[in-house]
Amino acid sequence: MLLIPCPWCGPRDETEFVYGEAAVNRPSDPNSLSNQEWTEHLYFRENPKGEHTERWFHRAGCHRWFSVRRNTVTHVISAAWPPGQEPKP
Amino acid sequence: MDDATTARPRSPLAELFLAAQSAPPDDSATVYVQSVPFVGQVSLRGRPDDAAFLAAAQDALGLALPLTAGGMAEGEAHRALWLGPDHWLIVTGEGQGPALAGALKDRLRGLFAAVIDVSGARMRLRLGGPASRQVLASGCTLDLEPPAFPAGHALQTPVGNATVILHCLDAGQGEAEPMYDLYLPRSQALSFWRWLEHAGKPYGLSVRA
Amino acid sequence: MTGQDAGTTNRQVWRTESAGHGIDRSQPISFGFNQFRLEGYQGDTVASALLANGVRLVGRSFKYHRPRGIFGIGSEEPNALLQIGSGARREPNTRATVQELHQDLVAGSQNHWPSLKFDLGAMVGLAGALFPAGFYYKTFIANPKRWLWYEKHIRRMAGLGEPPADTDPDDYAHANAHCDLLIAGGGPAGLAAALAAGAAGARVILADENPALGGQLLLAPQRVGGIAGHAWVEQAREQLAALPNVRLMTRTTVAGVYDHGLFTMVERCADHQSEPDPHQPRQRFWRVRARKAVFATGAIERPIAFANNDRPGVMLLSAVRGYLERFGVLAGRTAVLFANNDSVYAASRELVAAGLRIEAIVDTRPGLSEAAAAAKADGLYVLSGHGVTAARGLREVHGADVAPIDADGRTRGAAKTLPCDLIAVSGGWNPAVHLHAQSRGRMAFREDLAAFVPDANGAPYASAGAANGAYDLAACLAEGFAVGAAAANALGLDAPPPAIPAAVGDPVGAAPALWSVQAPKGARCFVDFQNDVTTKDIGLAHRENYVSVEHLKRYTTLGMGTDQGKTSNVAGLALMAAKRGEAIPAVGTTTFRPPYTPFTFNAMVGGQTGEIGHPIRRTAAHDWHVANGGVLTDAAGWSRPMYYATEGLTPQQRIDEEVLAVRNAVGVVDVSTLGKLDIQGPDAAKFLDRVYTNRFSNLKVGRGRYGVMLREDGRVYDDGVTMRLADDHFHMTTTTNHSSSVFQHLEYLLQVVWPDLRVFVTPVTEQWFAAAISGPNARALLADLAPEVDVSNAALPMMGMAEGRVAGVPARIFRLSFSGEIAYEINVDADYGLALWNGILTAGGPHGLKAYGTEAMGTLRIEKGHFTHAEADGRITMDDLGLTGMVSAAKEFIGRRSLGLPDLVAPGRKQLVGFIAAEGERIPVGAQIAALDDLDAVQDALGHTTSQAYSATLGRHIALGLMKNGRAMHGRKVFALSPVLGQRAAVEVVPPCFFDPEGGRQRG
Repeated sequence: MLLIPCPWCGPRDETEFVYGEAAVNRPSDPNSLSNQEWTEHLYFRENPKGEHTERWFHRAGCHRWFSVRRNTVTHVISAAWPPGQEPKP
Repeated sequence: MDDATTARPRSPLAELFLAAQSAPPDDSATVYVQSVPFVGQVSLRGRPDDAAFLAAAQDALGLALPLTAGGMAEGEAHRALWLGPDHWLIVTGEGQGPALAGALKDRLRGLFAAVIDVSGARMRLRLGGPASRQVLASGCTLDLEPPAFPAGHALQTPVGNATVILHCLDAGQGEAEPMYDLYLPRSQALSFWRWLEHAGKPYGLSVRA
Repeated sequence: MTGQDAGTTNRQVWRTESAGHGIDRSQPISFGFNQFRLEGYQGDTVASALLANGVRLVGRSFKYHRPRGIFGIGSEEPNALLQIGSGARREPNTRATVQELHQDLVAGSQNHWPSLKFDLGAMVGLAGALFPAGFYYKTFIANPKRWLWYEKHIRRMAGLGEPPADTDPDDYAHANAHCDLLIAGGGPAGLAAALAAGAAGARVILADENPALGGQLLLAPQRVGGIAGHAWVEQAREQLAALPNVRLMTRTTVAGVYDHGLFTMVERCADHQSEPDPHQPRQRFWRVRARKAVFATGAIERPIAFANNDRPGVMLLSAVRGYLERFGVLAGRTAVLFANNDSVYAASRELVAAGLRIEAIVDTRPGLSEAAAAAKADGLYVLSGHGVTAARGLREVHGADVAPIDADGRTRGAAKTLPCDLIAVSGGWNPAVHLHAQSRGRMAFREDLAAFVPDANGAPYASAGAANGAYDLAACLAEGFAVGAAAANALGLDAPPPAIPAAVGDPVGAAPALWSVQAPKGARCFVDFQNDVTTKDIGLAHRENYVSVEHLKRYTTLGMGTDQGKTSNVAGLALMAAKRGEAIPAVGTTTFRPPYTPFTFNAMVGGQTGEIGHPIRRTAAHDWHVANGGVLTDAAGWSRPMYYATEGLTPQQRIDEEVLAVRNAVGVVDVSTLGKLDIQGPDAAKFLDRVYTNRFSNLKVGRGRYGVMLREDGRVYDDGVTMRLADDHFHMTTTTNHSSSVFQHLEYLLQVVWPDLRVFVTPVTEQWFAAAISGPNARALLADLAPEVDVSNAALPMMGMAEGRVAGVPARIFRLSFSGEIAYEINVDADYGLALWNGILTAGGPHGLKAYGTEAMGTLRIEKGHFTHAEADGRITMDDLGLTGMVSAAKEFIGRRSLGLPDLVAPGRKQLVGFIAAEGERIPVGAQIAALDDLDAVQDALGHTTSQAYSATLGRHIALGLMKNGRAMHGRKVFALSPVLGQRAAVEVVPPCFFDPEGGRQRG
């Protein structure tokens, strides 16, 4: 059971959150993409063994979306940040 | 059944508390629960970096909105509970929700803000007594001990089988007994009550009308 | 000598005159074991009380039904599994060594039939033939049908005890706690860690599985700080209990270690009582978040395997000592002590002093250690370089065969038989590394201990004391104080320098690896008692190439069961390593998983059953629904009436009445469960344009519009009506199912994708009670209810809204229709919901009003061809639903980019159609649409039905469904088949609207 550091509320139990898949950004102009590029955006995801950036929604708390960098092997969470404020590695 | 023409409000736990009024008090109980129905509640939205909004809200409410998680501000007539970085629950007197919402709307007109009367969305239960913190902790993953959860702290989190807004009125240090207000979604009030009855059983839960 | 023969009370023949600081001789306790009534003392375990009464044979083994006795003294016990309690409180597989004795406890043996002494399975050897290693795999993978023949035999022979006869009458509870430091284990190291961290002010939880703190200090006479070990424990306990920042928990097992400092514990609140105190739980399941943890879980003594080493009377040496020291029980009269380490010599002095006759001390090591020489000088018979090759006796030990052995356990000379009724064996210790391993700590193998110890390198938590390989008492205490202080310092507290008390414990010395002694041909040497795994089984697994320890475990069942191999795992893998000719660390260990010891599902459930565990959402009119015959169903967590039952009518008749009331007069339905979102801000209209396929920015204030949202992949996601309350203010409704996911979706778009949009979305589902009145008389009813409101078609047209008092309650009235009739959705503050509902019902009488439920509502919408999630199942497009007219070509919205993808425009997609059954035919639920009227034929499905109902309006069964090129198929005669139900119906394909397709009624 993870303890997820909500950037607003601090560490809270995993049960308070909804997982929102990998932190992939929506292309700003989908129409400029080929069908191939668009379907890759829709359906293709990395499945890394190690560092993974993903989004969570604090459903039972502050109703904020944020990003989390989590190691998929150790579950160590090394960073969490509000949208658009990714820390420099 | 109520006469339709009188249009009285009804708490989702009305009958339970009605029954409790006639029951003899339980002196051995170490936790008690009390219903405070029809508390006026207003949802207030606005951006925390919008100085004009914050100033107008302070002017209208007579309190400065808390800007961090767990924050609660108390004015003469209202309380403001932090629900999110751009969301507050303003708690006011019984039946005062629509009037407060109207006044706030007027004061915030022209600003980026949202004011909604949500008095019917949640009911308030007060939980107190020496064992009240243990009862809550049995269904809450937060650290409820002071200094982690001091008096005046309020936040939204799951307790038992519902997501509630939990406000610590007294952390129970020294001679004092802990006391909490819980704001629960009205549709889940009865299910939450069933949880509370079970969680409070080892401590002798008593119902105060 | 067996208690079964004695059969009378209070014959505690094996209780010593003195010793036993853990029992209260002034408080005798009467208890039952099988058909006997026995007596023990307050403080006894069932095991110590049975031994005190001379009871050796307590059960039969799992596979071979061999007689078994008490082997250990704690949670490691593999053998003495009993059923405790009776009726609904009967609990099988309880270790006699941890079950505390209480008045009138009832204990029973397991796995014997027809009786404990005479077991048919063991006599005929049937079980032996049935279960060699890999039996299940070989027998049933090769030929699954054999199971049918074997099953009834195996069910009788195998298995561990009987489940309780009835629902558990006791209550269980959950608890959460937070601490700076969690200490697992309250022996010398754990107590020392608590003293050090507690003094520094850290919030400490110290949990121990036993009823008393002290660990090994309670089980052998040792001295700490100049006083007896158990007295020092009491001193330390008092000191800790006085600290408000320290919580001491006994009878509490740290069961599991999880991510980010989460630990689970099981507290046995009332297992030591015949039933819990009033209102108190039997067990409590704890979730603890700890910043630091110390594992001070001690070490488990390990046996050395020899022939028939499972006979009652073969016990761990530390257990024999512990029963004497703590319970004042001598586990035999004449003993052979068998060990590979010096602890045997300290033990021999205690045991002799208590009156045990020691026939011989058999020391596997060649030569004499200092302690051995001293024992010899005291006149004890010490056989060095020897081993016990076999136990003699059937139902209990009455002799030991002893022979010279080499370092690998091979016999090097003739055996002689020594008479004895007890063989106490010590093969060294294995640190209890379970919690460390669960925390993903690595293991290191220490050759000097022949044991795996925690590898501190990279470990998230510290281990201390015997759990860390520090067997010596002084080292235990020193390590405990050190890790406690280190944890406090790491948390920024200031640990005072500890005063480590001087300690005198056992000299343990080296314990060279020896796992088994060569057995006579054909004899069984048990490695895992609980699963009846022998040295031979491990050899067989090796020959059949199950050489990985994980495969070995699954092939032989070594280390499975309630003890999870606490006394057997290391021996098993050491034997495998020897077979493979490799070093033990090269073979590795199996994975340690939670829980450390078994606990009940009920503890984990913690009483969160029924509505507590599965909460129900109720609308403000719920009590009215129930009081008026509402038959309830679950709708996305809400409780809703399907229909209102009436005496003398079938459910279908009643639903028909409700449907016809709406079509011919007026009906009212509680629609509070629809999701409601308040949307405000200067960019609100622009935002809605981006989330719905159709436009909202041109919607007039005071009007509503139906909208459909797509997912980014172009499939239909959700739908509902949104009303414009002001230029910058909308009231959105979502389906009941998706109300929370639509909110998350909208917040995602606003927070992540378009943070520049100035819009607030606030969920307000809980705020509003909503009732929809619909039917030809709805307007007249509303006029009665809301005299202040102009309800004329001009003032309040379709998709219009009004505000005003309805039944005396301030309300928002939306004119929209799901039924196809004139309809109004009346929304009020939920506290006034029941008042509104009652008002509508009262005023509705003269208008022919009936309340209707979800069944009638579903029928009405099927008649109108409105889709729900049954149709829009996540694969369906707007075009499939025939809704391309609602898709704006002039703006961007979520999902638009996908609409042109090849799969979404491919020919032959399934499209929404209606099916109408031939007169008198009934369309089966979940039917496939086919061309041939043949339930058995292999034929391609042309489509499937998604919703079906009997339409009282039409007098026919109708359905909605999806069909390949459905719009081109109108008029076709096809068949709705359900091979699963064995039902069929002839149907005609029709457009997906069965009633008033022009919609004149709802606009009227």
